[in-house]
Amino acid sequence: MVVPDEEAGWIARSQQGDLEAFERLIARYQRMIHALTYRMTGSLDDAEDLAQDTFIQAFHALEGFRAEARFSSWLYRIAVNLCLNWRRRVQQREQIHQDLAAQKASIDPPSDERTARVQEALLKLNPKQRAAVVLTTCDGLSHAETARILGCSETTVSWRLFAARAKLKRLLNDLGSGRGGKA
Amino acid sequence: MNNDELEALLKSAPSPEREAAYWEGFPKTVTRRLTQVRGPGFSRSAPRHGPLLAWGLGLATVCILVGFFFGFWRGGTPSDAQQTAALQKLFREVALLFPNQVQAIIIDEGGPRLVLSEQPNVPLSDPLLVKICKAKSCRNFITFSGQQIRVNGEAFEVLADGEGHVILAGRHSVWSSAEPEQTQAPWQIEARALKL
Repeated sequence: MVVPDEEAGWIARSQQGDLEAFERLIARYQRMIHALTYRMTGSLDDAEDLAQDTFIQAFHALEGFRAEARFSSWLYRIAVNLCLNWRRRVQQREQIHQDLAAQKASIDPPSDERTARVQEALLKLNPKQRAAVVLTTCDGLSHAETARILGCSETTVSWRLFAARAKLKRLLNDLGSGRGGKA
Repeated sequence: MNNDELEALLKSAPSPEREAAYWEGFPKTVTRRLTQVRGPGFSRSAPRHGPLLAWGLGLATVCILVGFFFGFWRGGTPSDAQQTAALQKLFREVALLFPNQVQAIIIDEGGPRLVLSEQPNVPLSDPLLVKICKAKSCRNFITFSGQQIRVNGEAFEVLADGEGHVILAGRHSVWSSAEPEQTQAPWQIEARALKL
């Protein structure tokens, strides 16, 4: 169990360039960030790259980190922004190549079919809606915290969630209420 | 399906688990990348750049760029290998001074110029070398996938695909090193990864 003081010490030492302390922070948050980047991309490889980039960007930006925000929220913010930029680049690449088949091939489907359907549905959402769903529902953050991470108002978060839920319900309707649970 | 059912369904879908060895090695993978960019001389407790160092940094940058220009670029007609080696050296030296800030190094007849981001937020990736020539006038860019370069007023996004090809995507034209002859631009373009 990590106590806040211990984490504050790791942050302070990382701010001085201590990589061992930074490795402790990475170990603490790596699963959280990987889960987020995977849900945002659907690709294990891209999730790994984005998780690495998140921590590298965090290390370089640590000097500006103030303890006013939780370290996890601050990391989430970096990761979400990287994922949203990643989407833009992939979309541009798709436009250039007109090769959607290659993009589909790069998605790593989870082994469980039900999980695969959920991930597939998440990927059909607009990226900002997806980020709102992942942060609130999958990671359990409050609307206020999600709004801070996404840099928008709580109302915008609520609206994105509303739109996302409507679409997800349409896509996943046959999995609900125990109907066709195995899909 | 109501909201509670949807929430339960989303929560029941975990992200794929990875092996324990992956999690054990991941922090080191990240810090290895950090030290690679900063170079072997990076101290684990290196102090951050203070304002007094700004002058030193500026001076060091000028020395590197001027040294490169007069010491190499104007020193005759080097072979491709020599040119690549000189560009690799230039990039390494500049990247050490400005980790994650180098958006592009532009080299043309006027000498080398540095394009830096204000924050160290340029994602780490292999640098790319883009050479654009019109008539006898050439401009070299050392940049990264995702960065923008400007050629004759047109902005191009530089992208690298998974197979190592470089794509220049502009508003009016697209060029790919996979199909270099298909360019519609009035320039000759060469692009490849600048292996370090």
